[in-house]
Amino acid sequence: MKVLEILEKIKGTIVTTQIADVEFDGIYAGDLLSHVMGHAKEKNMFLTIMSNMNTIAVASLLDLPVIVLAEDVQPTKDMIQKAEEEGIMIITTTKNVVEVIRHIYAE
Amino acid sequence: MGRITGEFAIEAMDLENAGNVSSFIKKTLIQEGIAKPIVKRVSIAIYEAEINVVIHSYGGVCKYEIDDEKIFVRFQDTGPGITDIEQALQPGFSTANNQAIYYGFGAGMGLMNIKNASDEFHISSSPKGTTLDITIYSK
Ligand SMILES: Nc1ncnc2c1ncn2[C@@H]1O[C@H](COP(=O)(O)OP(=O)(O)OP(=O)(O)O)[C@@H](O)[C@H]1O
Ligand SMILES: [Mg+2]
Repeated sequence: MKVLEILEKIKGTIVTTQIADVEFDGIYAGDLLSHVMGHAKEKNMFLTIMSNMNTIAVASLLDLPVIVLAEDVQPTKDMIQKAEEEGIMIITTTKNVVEVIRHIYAE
Repeated sequence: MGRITGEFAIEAMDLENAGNVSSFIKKTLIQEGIAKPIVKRVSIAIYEAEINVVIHSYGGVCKYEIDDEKIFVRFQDTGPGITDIEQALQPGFSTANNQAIYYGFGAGMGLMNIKNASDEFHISSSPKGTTLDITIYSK
C-alpha cells in the first residue's frame, strides 16, 4: 500500500518533508517498545501514540518506513529532524488507533 | 572483511539519546554487507541491551567486534546488578521506573527479545554490575 492512497481516509498530515510517498506492507500497532521490537515486521506502518526519540529509533532499527501518531499526538522538532535523517515519514492524525486501521482497510 | 571493533559509553537515564549506539552498529553492519536478516536480529538484541543499560543501570560501556563469522557485542555496566536473573528473564517481569515507562519501556520483554534474536546470550551480574554478551553468527 502507498501512504498517499490512505492519507485522506485517515485524515492524516505528513509532518516530515523529505519524502513525498512511502510504500508500506501491513500495520503494527502498539506503544510498548519491546513488543514492537519483538513483533513488528519490516515495511510495516508503525501506528502508535508513543511519541519520543525512541519511537524513531525503533522504526529505524526495524526498517519501518512510516510512523502514524494517532489521537493528535505531536512529534517534537528533534523527532522530525531525526526521522528525516533516517528516511522515515511521520504522519499525525486526530483519529484513534482503531479508527486508523478501520479507515485504511475500508473498501 | 577482517575485524572491526569499537567501543561506546552509555549514559544512565539519557532516554533522548538511547538507541544511538545500536543505530551506529546497525549502519556499520549494513556497510560491511552483512545479510539483512542478521542485521535485524543484531539490531533487536543490541537495542534492548542498550536500553536496559540506560534505564536499569548506573551507566556502562558497549564493545562490539565484527569478523567474518560473527557479531559479538558486550554490554557492561556499573550496577546495581540483577538480583534474580531467572526472574528477570520471565516475560512481563520489570522493575522499570516511571520515567522509563513514560518513554515506552517496561513491558518486561527486552531480555526475551535478546534471547530470541541471538545465537549465544550470556548474562552475569553482581551488585557491582551486569555483563551481557551477545553473539550472532553471520554465516
Ligand atoms: N543492565 C541491567 N541492570 C540492572 N537490572 C537489569 C538490567 N537489565 C535488565 N535488568 C532487570 O531485568 C528486568 C527485565 O528486563 P527486560 O529488558 O526483560 O524488561 P524491561 O527492561 O523491564 O522492559 P522492556 O525491555 O520490555 O522495556 C528489568 O526490569 C530489570 O529489573
Ligand atoms: Mg528492557
